[in-house]
Parts: sequence; structure tokens; C-alpha cells
Amino acid sequence: MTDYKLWYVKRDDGGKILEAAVRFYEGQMEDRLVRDANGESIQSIYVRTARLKKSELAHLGGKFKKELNGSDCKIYSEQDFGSINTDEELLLFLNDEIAKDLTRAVIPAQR
Amino acid sequence: MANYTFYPSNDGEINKNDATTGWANVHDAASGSECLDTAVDALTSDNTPGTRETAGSDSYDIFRAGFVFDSSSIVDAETVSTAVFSIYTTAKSDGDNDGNDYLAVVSFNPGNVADFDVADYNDFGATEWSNQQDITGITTSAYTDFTLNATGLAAVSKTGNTILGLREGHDILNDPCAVSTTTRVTTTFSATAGTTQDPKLVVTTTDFIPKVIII
Repeated sequence: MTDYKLWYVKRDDGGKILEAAVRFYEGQMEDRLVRDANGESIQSIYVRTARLKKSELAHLGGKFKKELNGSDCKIYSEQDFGSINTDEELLLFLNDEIAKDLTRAVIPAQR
Repeated sequence: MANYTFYPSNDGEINKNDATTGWANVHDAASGSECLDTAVDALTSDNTPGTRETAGSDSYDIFRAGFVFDSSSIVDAETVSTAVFSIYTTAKSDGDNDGNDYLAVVSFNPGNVADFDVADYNDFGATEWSNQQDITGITTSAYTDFTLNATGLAAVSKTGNTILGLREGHDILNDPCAVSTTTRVTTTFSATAGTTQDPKLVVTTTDFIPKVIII
């Protein structure tokens, strides 16, 4: 399975999204202890097992940047997603991007 | 001006519990009892931060939370003007509602930002870096915001990590919580699936305006 998380989203003072830095992972379902609003229980949850490297994201192309921890982070700009302002618009774009990975199943929340 | 929303590279909680040994032994302990973080333990949610006393037995629990943000992408020439830290809470308990039942941002200095340890329990500061959020007024299933004050703003790094801690008021003030009370929130951590409930740090910057010298 695969999912993405965000490193940062940069906006101008009008709220337009200028750049988004995205972390891609692979993972699997595992039984883990969860403490949430319902108490403490063992639940089957998605657990990230590895951060995907630039070489594993060749299908996305484009620009990458290194984080402080040395991980590769995919960088998207207006050239990629157009003129957008909201998180919802960004996530719709990223859901289309992660769907380009034909080797892993995308987690349900990002399909 | 620019606006950056950062998400954690690691976050988690360290707690200390010790049956029947009293508040001071738990509050001032050099090391915690348990540590769970996102990077190593896939922590999605936990009942932290907070304080608890169990059944009048002088048995206390203290829960502290830490968050690491890689903020090195802030343009060096920009000036950080404001920063707001936010957590998404799904539940709360406000047993000791005496005015010290609040949350506030403090410093946090873990030994390894990629893997928290029980030894980090003692690495949370007691100076408040933000406004206080009274647990009574916290809305669950929503974000709670903490606006960093001048001391907190000074900790926002343009070249490295910005590391924040979150503690409950009784813990910060070293004020034992009342007998048989639980005062804490349930926080969603960044191992959770999706991106809509992750802790976040929103930093606003002002542009560098060079001086123009006319000769």
C-alpha cells in the first residue's frame, strides 16, 4: 500500500498555494494498540514501513528537495497544480498524483 | 509576505506513572515510563498531554507531548512574524477544573528528533511559549490553536527544526492535580492516515525589503 503526507504548504499573502512539499510512503495494515476517544484497543491500522525514495518516484518526475533528515521530498508548484487556494483542492490534485503509482494500492482515504 | 504550513517529521508522547509514590516523584522524574512516537511506533492517537491521580492512592500519571517540524524551507531573508501551532483533539477530560486545567506550548529538547525516548521526559521546559488553552473551552473533533509568544517565535528555525512541547497546566506549574481526577485531551498524531488531522505549525513571514541607497 501507499500514502502521502505533507512536509509543508507555502502560500502567498492572498492565500494562493505556491508550493507543496509531499512525502510518499509505502506501508501495510497491522494490528496496533490505539488510544483514542473510545478508549484503548487493538485495531487494524495502516502503518508506514518505508519512505519512498526519489528513484521509486520516477513516475512522478519533476522536482525534489532533501529534508534535514536526508529524505527525498517531492515538490509541486503552480506549474503542476495550477491556481489553487484550498487544502481540499491540493488534496484532490495529490490523490491524482499518488494514483500514478501502479505498483501499490493507495490507502482508502486518498483514493 | 508568505505563509508556510508545516507538518511534523516526528511527534509523540512520553509519560510517567508511579504507583503510591506521590506527585513530586512523578513530576520531577529524570526519565519516563513509556514513550510512543510516530516515526518508530506509528502513534496515531493518544491521551496526552495531561495529568491524573488514581483513586486517592497518591498514584499520579503525567503525560507530555512533543512535535518536530522541519522548518528549514523558510527563506532566510524573510522575517518570521507570527506562528500558530495546532493540534486536533478527539476527546477531553476536565476533572480538575481549577483554572490550572489548560494546555500550553513549551520547549522540548529530545536526544534524537527521529526517535523519542523515555529519557526525554525530563526535556520539556516550564516557560510557556504560547497562549493558554483552557481544557474547559476546547472543542473536540476540531483543531485547537496556540499562538506562539515572543519566546516561542524565537524558537522557529529558518535553517533547521522547530521543536515544540505541549504540557498541561498542573504539570507546568508543578501543582498536583486533585485526587481521583483526570485532566487531559486525546490528540491525533501524524502517523494517522490522511492529512486533515495532523498537528501543524503555520508560520507567517514578511519579505526582506532591501535598503535602497541613492548616491
